[in-house]
Amino acid sequence: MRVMPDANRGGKLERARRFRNSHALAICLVAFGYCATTLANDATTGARPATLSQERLTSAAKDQADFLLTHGNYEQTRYHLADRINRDTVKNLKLAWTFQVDLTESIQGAPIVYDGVMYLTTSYNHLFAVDAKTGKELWRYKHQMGPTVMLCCGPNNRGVTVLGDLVYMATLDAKLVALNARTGAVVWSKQLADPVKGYSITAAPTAVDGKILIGFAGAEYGIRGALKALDAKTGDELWTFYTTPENSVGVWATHDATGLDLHRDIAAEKAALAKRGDPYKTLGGSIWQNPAIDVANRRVYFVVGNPSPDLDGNVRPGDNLYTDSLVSIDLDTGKYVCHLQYIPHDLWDLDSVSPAVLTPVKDNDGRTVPGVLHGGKSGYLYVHDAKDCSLIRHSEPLVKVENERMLPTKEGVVVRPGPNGGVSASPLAIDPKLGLAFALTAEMAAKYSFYKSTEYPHGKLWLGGGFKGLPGEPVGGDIVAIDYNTGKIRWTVKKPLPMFGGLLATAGGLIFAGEGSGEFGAYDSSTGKELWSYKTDAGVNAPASTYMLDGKQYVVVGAGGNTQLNYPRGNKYYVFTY
Amino acid sequence: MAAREILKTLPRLGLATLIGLAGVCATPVLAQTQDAQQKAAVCAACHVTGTVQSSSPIPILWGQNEGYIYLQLRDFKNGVRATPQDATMNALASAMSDDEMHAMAKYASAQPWPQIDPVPTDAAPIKQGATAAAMGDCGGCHFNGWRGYSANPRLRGQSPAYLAATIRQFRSGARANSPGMADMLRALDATDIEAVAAYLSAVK
Repeated sequence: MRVMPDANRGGKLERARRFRNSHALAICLVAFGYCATTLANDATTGARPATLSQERLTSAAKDQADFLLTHGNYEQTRYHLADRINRDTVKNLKLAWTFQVDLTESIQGAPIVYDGVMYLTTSYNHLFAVDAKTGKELWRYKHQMGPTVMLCCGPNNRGVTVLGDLVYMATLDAKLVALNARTGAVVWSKQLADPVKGYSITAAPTAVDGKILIGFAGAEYGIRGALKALDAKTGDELWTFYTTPENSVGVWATHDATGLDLHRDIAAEKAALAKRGDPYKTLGGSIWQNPAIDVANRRVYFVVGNPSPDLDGNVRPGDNLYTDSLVSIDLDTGKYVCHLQYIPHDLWDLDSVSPAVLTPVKDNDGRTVPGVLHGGKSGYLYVHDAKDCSLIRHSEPLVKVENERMLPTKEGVVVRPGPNGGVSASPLAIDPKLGLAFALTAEMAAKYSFYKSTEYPHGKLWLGGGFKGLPGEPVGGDIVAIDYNTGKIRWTVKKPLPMFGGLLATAGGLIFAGEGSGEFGAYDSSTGKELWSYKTDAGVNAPASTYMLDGKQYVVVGAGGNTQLNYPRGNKYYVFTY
Repeated sequence: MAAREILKTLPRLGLATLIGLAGVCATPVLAQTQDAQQKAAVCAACHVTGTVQSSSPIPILWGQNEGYIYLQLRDFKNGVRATPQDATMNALASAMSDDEMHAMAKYASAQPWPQIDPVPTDAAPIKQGATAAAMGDCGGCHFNGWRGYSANPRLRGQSPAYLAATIRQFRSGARANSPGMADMLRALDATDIEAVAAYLSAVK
């Protein structure tokens, strides 16, 4: 629903509006030290986008036009219904325009496109609103970062969320800012946690039901991880779910969720627990990306990262709940409902990062039930029952595995996949009609070493051990299609470089994926056959979005490279159409 | 120790009030800068603003990242960073308030980075160092051409003698204010230490 400017108002108000719309204004908000520049050159641009209702967000999976949420919809399927670009027509896809941002550094954000406005973010939290048809800049916001920012894995940002008249971005210095979605003016800014304790945010927030949900990174610095819900209008905190509960010890599991022996010394851990107490306060548990939401059933599903310190279990006895787990909580209260821990007492930094996906799945009796999918750094696709989080099945390994769960030693032990391997951070996409999940994988071994235990260093880097790469590594990566109702791999496309970024699937029978070499390709979703590709000028290490505008379909992806894998950096978002 | 004499003569400045305006676009920051500038004269006695010898055990400070400078001052004051070589810094930092540390970090990070002399040019160790730094994924934190960001320090163009000594201090545990750095550096081969220092100091 487009809000048209009221030309009948006339007088002073109309002249003011014309002045605002026909000149560039620099508005410096002195009290907060933020600057927003509005470049609105015609009346209708200044009025976009229209207010975004919760109803539209809730039904995003059925939306044929816009790309309303980071992963397409609350279920996070990254599956879009637009099908003008399909297996037959994708060969006609060509570059429409690029949008150049104001710095050259890793791009990992997924564009949100709504009512003809595209929201793009950069590393270091710059946010651009762009005309989604022409690529003309509407406004930009440059976040003023605080003095101390602790990062393990790059200064990147994964995008924004929109609700009502506001657009929200979380920042590296652990703030959440709410801006006017039409002008970029700051409405409020909240400091959610203390960066000096190691908290940062690279995730995109999620707007739902009058709330903004956001999680924290920092488990390389001994944080106590959390998912927070803030009031979308005021930024006031509504609830906090800590990813490390006060009783984090669990059941002393000797094997992980796939049945691998963890080689734990339970007796030694119990002795350590008696001496040290529960380690929950500094146990880690980052939340790197958006949670999935079942709005009707009031359930939130998310995956939790590694425990602190990453490689040393001696100072954190117990299963280290809920690190390396799928967790589900109540949307209204933030209270715990269920969990499934993939790797208890993790010593390999195999944190759960790739976002959870909600979709109906077949259980082991062949009945269709609400399900949850997650692709692990461990190299497995996990399939859960959404009701109680239980594991229905896991896939065969998606990457080569070697020395799984072997304990780090002083000399170092080579383990495959390593801390950047498996599905890593890349979001999945699914095609619910085909029953396939698509994953990007990285074949990267690492040598894990452990020297001696150290105590919590009050917000400093705390890894518990070292990892380094190996000659001849990385070996490469793949695009893999997995039948999530059986766990079997359907097809694999081998790639020369580890894959990192994310996938988009469409009802046109396509999936889109980028590579560190700069290639951005479209593949037949049922066979993996490459049908189209384009060479950009930097690593394509972000997930693509798609949208319809005036009857035409577009695909947009960021090409900015990546810090962790050191892919070539860039400064552009690429938009394709026919 | 000369440092203590210097400390006694430093005026106690009202930096705290000026810090209160730190978020502003316009500039009463000028007065704050002048105060930091006066204090910085002390720092420049050791952290020279001109060319730095490659054999210097004292690191380049000017142009280093703001978050990192602040954290080091804090750690010098609270004794978490206290190798024998740090005694002067422990003394100097002990007189600083948190606000003064922030002001000094902000000022120092805005200054130009001095050159080192001589810049290593021997190709073999530089190549060896580049390989070792890539294997160690050092660029994951010290990204952007080894400039790092905020709490992650700039390594590029730093004194190679200081870099090599620092690597050894972390490995031995003598420098204890980042256990994660100590662990990552222990994964480095001992034979790569000088090469990594040469490589990073020579990055252009």
